[in-house]
This record gives sequence, C-alpha cells and structure tokens, in this order.
Amino acid sequence: MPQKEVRVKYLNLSTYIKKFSLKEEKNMKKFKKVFYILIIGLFLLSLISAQQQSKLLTILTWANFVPESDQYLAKLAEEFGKKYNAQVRIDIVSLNDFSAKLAAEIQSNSGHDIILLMNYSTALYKNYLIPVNDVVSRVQIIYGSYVSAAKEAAMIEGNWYSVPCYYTPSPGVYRKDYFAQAGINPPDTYDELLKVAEKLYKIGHPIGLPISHCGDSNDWLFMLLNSFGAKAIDSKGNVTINSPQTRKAMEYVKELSKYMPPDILAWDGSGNNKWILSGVGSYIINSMSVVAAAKSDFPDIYKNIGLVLPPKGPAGRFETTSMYSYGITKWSKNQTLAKQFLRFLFEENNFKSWVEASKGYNMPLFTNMTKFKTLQCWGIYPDVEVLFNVGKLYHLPLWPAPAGGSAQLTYDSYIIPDMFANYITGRMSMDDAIKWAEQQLTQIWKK
Amino acid sequence: MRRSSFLNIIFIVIILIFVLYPFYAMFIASLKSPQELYNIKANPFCVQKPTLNNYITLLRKTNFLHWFLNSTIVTISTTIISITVSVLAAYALARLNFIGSKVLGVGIFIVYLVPQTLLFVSLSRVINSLNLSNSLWSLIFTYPTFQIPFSTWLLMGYFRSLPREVEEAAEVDGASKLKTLLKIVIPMAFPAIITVTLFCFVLSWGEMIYALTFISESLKQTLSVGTTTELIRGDMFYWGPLMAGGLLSALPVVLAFSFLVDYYVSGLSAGAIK
Amino acid sequence: MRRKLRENLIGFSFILPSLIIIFSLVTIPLIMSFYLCFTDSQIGKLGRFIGISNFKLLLENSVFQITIYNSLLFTFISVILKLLIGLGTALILYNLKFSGKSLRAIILLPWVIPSVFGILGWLWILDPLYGSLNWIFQYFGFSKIPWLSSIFWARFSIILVNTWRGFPFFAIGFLGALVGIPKEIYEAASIDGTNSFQKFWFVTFPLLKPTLLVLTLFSIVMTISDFSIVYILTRGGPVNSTHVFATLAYQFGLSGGQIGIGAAISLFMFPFLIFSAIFILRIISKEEIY
Repeated sequence: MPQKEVRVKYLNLSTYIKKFSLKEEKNMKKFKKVFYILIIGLFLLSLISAQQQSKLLTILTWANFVPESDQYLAKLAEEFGKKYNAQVRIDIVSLNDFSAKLAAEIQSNSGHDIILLMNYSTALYKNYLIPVNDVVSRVQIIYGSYVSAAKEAAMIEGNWYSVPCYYTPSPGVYRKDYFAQAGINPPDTYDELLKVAEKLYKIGHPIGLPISHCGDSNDWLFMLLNSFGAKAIDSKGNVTINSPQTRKAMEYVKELSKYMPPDILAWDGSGNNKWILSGVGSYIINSMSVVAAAKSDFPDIYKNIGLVLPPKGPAGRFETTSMYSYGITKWSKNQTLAKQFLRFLFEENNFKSWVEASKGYNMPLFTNMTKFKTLQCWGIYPDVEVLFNVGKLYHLPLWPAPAGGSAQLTYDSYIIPDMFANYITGRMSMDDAIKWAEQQLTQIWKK
Repeated sequence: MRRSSFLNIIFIVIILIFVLYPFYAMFIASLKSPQELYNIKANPFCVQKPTLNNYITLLRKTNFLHWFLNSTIVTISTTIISITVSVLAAYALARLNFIGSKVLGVGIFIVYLVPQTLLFVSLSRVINSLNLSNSLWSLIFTYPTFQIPFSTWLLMGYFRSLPREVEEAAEVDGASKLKTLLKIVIPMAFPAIITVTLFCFVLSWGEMIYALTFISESLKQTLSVGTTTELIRGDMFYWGPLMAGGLLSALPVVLAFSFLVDYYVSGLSAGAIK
Repeated sequence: MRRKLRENLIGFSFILPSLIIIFSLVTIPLIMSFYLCFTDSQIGKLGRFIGISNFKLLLENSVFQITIYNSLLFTFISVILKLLIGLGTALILYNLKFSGKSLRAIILLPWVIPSVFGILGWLWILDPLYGSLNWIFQYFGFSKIPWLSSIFWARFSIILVNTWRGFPFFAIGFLGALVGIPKEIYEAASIDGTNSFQKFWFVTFPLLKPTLLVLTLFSIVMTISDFSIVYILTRGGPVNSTHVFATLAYQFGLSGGQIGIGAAISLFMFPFLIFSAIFILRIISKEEIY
C-alpha cells in the first residue's frame, strides 16, 4: 500500500526534474567549472598570502611564567626591528606543548630562526643548530663566565650551540611561622630535613616534595641522588644506578615519605605551588613562581616565606632546575640577523631590563652576579642571597651523564621518580625497584 | 507504564547531574578571585565574593576573541567542505558498486586510523613545503582528513538503511544518480546529515595538535591552543580565566546547536516519507 | 542508458578530485609514519631500516606491557559505558515529549566543549587539595579519595572523564538513527500486540545496528588513540599505571626524540583496528534492512 503512494508522489517529482533536466545539465557543467576554478584560486591565494617578507626574524619561545617578561621581549623585538630594518615576531608556546612543537619543526627542517632550547635540547638537536661561539664569547666578555651548568647544556664537543639565557632557581621555600611554631630552623642537610619533616607533620603542616610524573619530581630526586653520591648514569654513559648510595637514598625517601601527604604521588608542576599557597604546606623545593604568586594574591603567606639553599647530603649540595637557552637554526635564512638579535638581547641595558621585567624570575647564569645585584626586582624576594648562591650548585638533572637524547629520554620517562614511588608505596621491594630502574635505564643507554 | 517513565526521569536526572557537574564547577571557579579559589576552607559550590575579573581579563587582556573567531572560521569552512565531500562519497559507496568501492571505503578508514598525535610530525613537513604554515589554511586543508572518514562511514551506514524503492522509483522516472541524491535522499537522510555536521563541527572545534603545530602566531591561533598557551604559564594555572574560557568556548556552540537539534528531532522523522 | 552513465560519471568525478586533494596531503605523511615504525629514526635524523626490532624491544619493556593493558582496559570499559549510557539517553530523549529541546542541547555539552577545557575542569574537580568531590566526601565525614594518586582511582578517573566526554557522541548518533526509523513500523508492531521491551529488542535494536557498529568502531579508534585525558590528568602516572599508547609515544617520540619507537607505539594497534574495520564493513554491507 505505502509503496504505491510513494511512487505516485515521486512520479510528480520526477516530471518536475525532467523539465529542468536539460537546463540542469548546462548548469551542472557551469557549476563544475566554477567549482574547480574556485578551488584552484583559493589554493593559489593561500600560496600568495603566505609569502613572507624576506627579512622576518621569527623566534619561538615559551610562555614565560611572568607575562611581563614576554611583553618586554616583544618591546625589545620592536626596537631591534627599527634599528636593523627588519621585522621580528616572537611566538610563544605553552611549556607543556613545547617539545611537540619543537620536534615538529626539527622534523620538518623548517620553522623559526631562533628557538628556545631547554636543558638537554641543545645536545639533542645539535645537528640543526649553528655554532654561536662568537655570540657567547661576547656575552662572557661582558658578564664573566657562565656557571658550569650552562656549559653542560650548551657546549658540545668544544663549541657552543646555543646561548644560555637564564634559569629558574629552585631553592627550599619554607614557612617561617610554621617552623617557628615547631621550634626548628630551616634544614641545611637532608638529615635535618627528615627531623624537621616529622615535627612539621605533627603540627599539621607537612613538607611536600612530589614523587610523580612531573618535572619537579625529577629535579629534586636527582638532586637527592647526587647529594647522596648516587649516580643514575656516570660520565661515560654507563648505568650505575645499582649502588649502595642509591640504597641509602631510597631508604631516606621512604622515611621522609611517612611525613608527606599521599597526594605527592600525583602532583603535577603546580602541586607544590598549591601546597604552599593553600596555607597547608610548610616546605617545598620550587622556583620563585610560588613567591611571586604569594606576593600578588596571598599577602599573609607572602610575609612568612623564607628561602633556604637546597639541602646538603653526604656527597655535597646540588641544585637542579630548568635552563633556558636560545639557539639559531640551520635552516634559518636570517642567521646573521639572528646573531645580531642575540647580541642585542645581551647588551647590558637590555638584558638587565629583561631580568627586571621578569621580576627576577629569569635568573642569569653567570658565576659573578654583581652586575645584577643592583636591580630592583630582588626586593620582592626574602633571603635573596640564597637565589644568587644557588647557581654555583646548579647541574643538569642527570649530571654527570653526557647530555643528549638518552638523558632527555631518561628525564621524560620519569624512571627515577617511579623507582622511588614503587618502593615507598610497597609495590616493589628495594631490590626490585632498583632492578626495574636499571633495566629501564639500560634500554635507553645501551651502546 | 508509569513505573517506566518514573525510571526514565530518574535516569535522565542522573545523566544531567553527571553532565552538568563539571560545568557548574567551572562556572563557580570562573567567578572566584584567586584568594577565594585557593582558600582551602572555601565552599567549592558557591561564591562568597563573585567577581567578573576573570572574564574581563580573558576578553580584554588576551586574544580570546581572535582565537574564537579563528576557530569559528576554520570550523565552519571545514565542516562545509567535509559534509559536501562525505555526502557524495557516502552515497557513492553505499549505492554504487563501482570498481574499488570497497577498497576506497577501507582506504578512507585507514587514513583515520593513523593517530593525529603521530601524523602531525610528518604532516608539518608537507604543510611547510606548501607554504601554508602559520595560516588558517593549513587547518582548513587538514581538518577534513579526520572529518571525512568518520562522516562518510556514518552516512554510508545510514544511506544503506534507507528504502531503495524510493530511489529506484525516481531513477525509473529518469532522474540521474546525482539528482536522486540531491532531491530525494538528502531530505530523507536529514537527521543523519545533521548528526554528522555536528560531529564535524565538534571534531574541528576542539582540535589541538594540528593547530599547535601549524600555527605559531598568537593572533592566528585557535581557541584551545591560544587559551592554554596564555593561561597556563609554567607551573602556574590561571584557573579563573581558564575556566571562564572553557565556558565561553562551549556555550555559544551549544546555543547554536540547540536550535538545530530541535529542528531535526521534532519535525523530520521519517514521516517525511509519508 | 548512455546518458545515465555519463551523468553518473559526471556526478562522481565530482567527488574524486576533492578526495584526491585531501588525501594527497596525508598520503606521504601516512606512509612516512608507517615507515618510521621499522627504523631507528630520531627527530631530525632518518634512521636505518631495522625490521621489527622496535616492536621486539617494546614488547619486552614492562612499561609498554602496562601501556597495552591500560589502553585496552580503558577502551573496553569506556566504550561499553559510553554506548550503554548513550543508548539509554537517546531512547529516553526520543520518548520524552516535554522540554526536549534544552535537554538535548545540555546533553551535548561535554562533547562540544573543546576537550582540553573539559579535562581541565575535571582536573580541578579531582584536585587533592581543592577538589569539590573530596570536599563533599569530607563534609559528610568520609575520607578523601586519592583520585589521581592511587593506581585504581587514577584509572577510574581516566575512565570517568572519558565516559563523560564521549557518551553524548553515542547519544546523538543513536538519536539521529532513532529519528530515521519510520513510525509506521512501531504502529504495526503495536497492532501485533508487542510490549515496549519487545519493540526495542525486535524492532529498534536491529535497525540501530549499522549506526551502532559505526559509532562503536569510531569510538574504539578515538578512545584507544586518546592523548589529552591521560596527559593532562596524570601524564601516565602514578608509576605508568595510566599510560596509553598516545602518551607513551609522546614520551618516547616527541620528548625523548626517539620517533621510530614513538611511531611503533602509536601504530601498535593498527593491525587490530584494520581487521575490525574490514570485519565491520563486511557486516554493514551484508545488512539489508529492506
């Protein structure tokens, strides 16, 4: 029944179609032509509009914790552009997404002229960077020599492949009032840290050090290992994690973890910041982001913050944090201009103003910090001498392991934080946890 | 009957709570100042001192409106392109048995199988060599690659389930395949086409990895990348503006679609055949 | 007849150029991505062909083994949950007559909001210090749940967010299909005296099968290759218990520069997915409803 009805209805429709079928054919042909012309036209238009001026200098950098730092850089770029008759464009990328963006540029062998290289990236992508020895020598003439960490990151086989700009010191950040309440001084050694942790736990304001998949975990645990004389990888690239010193470090962290909240197993980079800013936490090891945030939004916490050097262990005192360098890419068509820009960036007035604009967050990497001590920005930091002294203790996380892809992969695989986490949660025995880490490291560092 | 509709209502209420809870949380967070947001004792379900600062910061001090516009341009154009191609391709694959139709069907699917998180690395090389980098065109050309496979397949399944007799009737009366498609099949398949339009829209609206890779300049960025780049700086999350951004990126779309959804569900049931 | 053939050719030579333009964009990168699995390439350094060494290496690595388990676990549970909740929602929305419009729009919300914002919203809800769910539990005297720091709860959270985000996909897909079912069929069934459950099982469900298959297939592909949820919430932790293919591939391939291994991880599920596709395509071709 329904079928017949349908047929009738569409019979009318089809006669309607037939009437216009001849016209439709012609229209269809016209339409097709127009469509193809449109497509080709759009394509060509895109090619034309994408042509860039030949003198455009592009810089890829991260979205600095302090937006004013980026703003200053943009201002500097404009100045430079006027002076050298060029256009400078600064593109920012979020820190989390940075490795993906950088990898895509390297893989496609095209992109920005100047790129940000953090920690091991210079060594990893050395083949896509041009040597910048001339720029670095100029910088070291003005400011004195770089700290050793800068050389670890940017000097490869005797040549500088990027210009180290700054790092973000991560000392101990503590609540003076909670420490006073517990009747203790800020810890100078790891032994003291353990004692202090217990007392602070008892007054309901524990310390917080992450043991999770985040950069902060890697940083403080590598600091710890080095301070105990334990080395995950030696200077020749051999896996040396299985050692009595590592065992001591593991035992230590297990003890310490009793006095820390279970949340540390899941913290991301902002976990320790929140720990202090919530008013709950009493001690973290972190960059000055937490101090800056406290200053702007939490005056009660801010006035009680103190800084202390990271703790000392049996084998010394170590610091690990993030380093930021700029390199010039091989594919860049503006290499001379890029070098000029870097030199311009490091002119005394400019560089100092940049540090000032960043409110001291961008800490220069020179052994002699006298030139910078007169800046105003340090005013917001308590115990600012701590910040100046941390640089000498600074090493790349896997130091003394050779810088390169294996070090980067080790860091990004969170093998060390996982090793500790497996043990302190009781999931694995100490032997198994260390063996697991050893296996993982061996796969990465095999020759 | 009464019992089952009571159960229905309970189910829907639970679903609604499930759906809306994060939005409510985001809404509250977007109205809180940092002091209140980070106050460990504060009630996360209400705001003591609501402030619009987060929205103001987002709209005035970031390029949010640019990002919104860019996302809109890319999404609308890619959706149009993808729907057009998919409808034609799906009809061809569903009704015509030309040589290689099965292979083409699976081939389209294979393109979809390689995850964007891997493809983007090699794709960026192609985009750069075509001089499309740092331009919305790079997205307009690449988004259809994941919109089309899905749309084609869904429409293919749907077209197959439509009664052949109607199309056969039209063809007997002299209409070509293309006209049959345009005049008869598309109106009958309208619900599926709206569904697929929505999917293409959503896939494009929230896409991040290609936008991050192919576009570098902040003004040309799309919503997801621009907002997170500006508001997640290192280890500092600007939760207030971030949540505001999230809400502002969802609500207009939902409002626009609430009209469309109503249109297809209410009127155009297969009663069109009648 | 000849005119018809010509018209057909005109019509369909219409699609092919568009398809060609688009797929030519991805063919080379696609082949490149495949090829990378079998090399020891690094970012920027095309390596040598090493056969299936990458796969051997990965299969022996305990972290990759967990990753396989996680990916399959998350996909299996999430897809089933999304399907069931989506189907239930679609059926109820279809039957509801009152204020349907706003309800349908609301159901869309988790799917429409750009993924990254939705996940960040959940990150805030699940935060150990500030999370609102824990706040509710503590208010009623229960203890906090370690949403992201315990292995079980971290996996639970990933599945929860995945389901939240993805069930509207099924709901709207099913709703579109339900609407396409002619009402006469139900009327005929009522005349034959079937109850609602039988109506569903013998009438609705078979008609929904093609849609169900396509939605499920695409959901499997989307879920198994998902990156953002794990990356933003846990970055694979605690102790790799939430790592999925995409996040592990990111870790090895993009952060660590080992793109050959990264590709091998990303494409590990590829053969399985191809077979599923062919299998489902066969079923859909055989489905002749009328």
